[in-house]
Amino acid sequence: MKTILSERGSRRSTVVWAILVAATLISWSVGIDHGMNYRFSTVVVLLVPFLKVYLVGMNFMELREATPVLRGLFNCICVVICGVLIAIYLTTS
Amino acid sequence: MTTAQTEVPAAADARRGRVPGEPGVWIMILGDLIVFGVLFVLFMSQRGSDPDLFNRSQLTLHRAFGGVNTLLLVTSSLLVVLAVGAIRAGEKVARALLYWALACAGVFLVNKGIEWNALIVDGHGLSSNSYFTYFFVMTGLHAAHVIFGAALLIAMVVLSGKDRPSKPHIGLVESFGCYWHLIDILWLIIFPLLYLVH
Repeated sequence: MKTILSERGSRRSTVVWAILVAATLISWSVGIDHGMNYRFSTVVVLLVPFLKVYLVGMNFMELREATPVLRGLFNCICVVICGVLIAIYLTTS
Repeated sequence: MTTAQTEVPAAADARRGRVPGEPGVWIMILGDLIVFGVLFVLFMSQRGSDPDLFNRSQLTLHRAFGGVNTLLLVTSSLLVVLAVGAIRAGEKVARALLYWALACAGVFLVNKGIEWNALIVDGHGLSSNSYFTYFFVMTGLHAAHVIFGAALLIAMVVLSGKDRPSKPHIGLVESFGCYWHLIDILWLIIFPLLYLVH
């Protein structure tokens, strides 16, 4: 266990995990707190998960070191889904 | 400098510019992402036609189920990353890490079952309204992915026994790991869509 957790890649993964947990708790509290402008808070709530998806893809799935075509495809799909969801939300609410 | 410290940057350099795992798995991963993406867009469009119904229906959910399940899957993803690293290095700790990841998957499914049961007891079902149709379809499809992913984690446990894993062996392990991260990614989007967007 000691060897694995002391590797540079494993330390980075643990830091990414801590960021993911913090981002989850933040978007969870933003989603519950209705004191904020609800349109703004919903856009934040929709953006944060895609930042988390980016972190999981680049670090946990090792796309950071992968061929640029695969990385580009993954990022394109995520950006399109995120952009379309936010656009639909803003035009219909 | 120890052997382990010198091997890590070299291993990272060797992985640069390649496809993690088997290329065929990436077709499945990106395809799944697109299919769920279409489902997410359909959900958001439907929500736009009756936001009040979607907001009212969402308030009947217990957000804690979704939030705790997010933390469980994110944690399981970290455990799988560490397990893949351990398998590459031929370390026995991989098996324990995978058992913990499987435990996270198990608790996720139990939580999901409790949540579904509570909703059904309260009179909500697949045909209650369009929000609950999407809720049960999305979470049901995702739960099916979790069950399939858990089976792949069990396969990883079996593959983790070797001291000197071969390249195809490592490719399989990486593929299964990437599939598990896809399950995490899908839930990272499903949670805010179903539980938080207001």
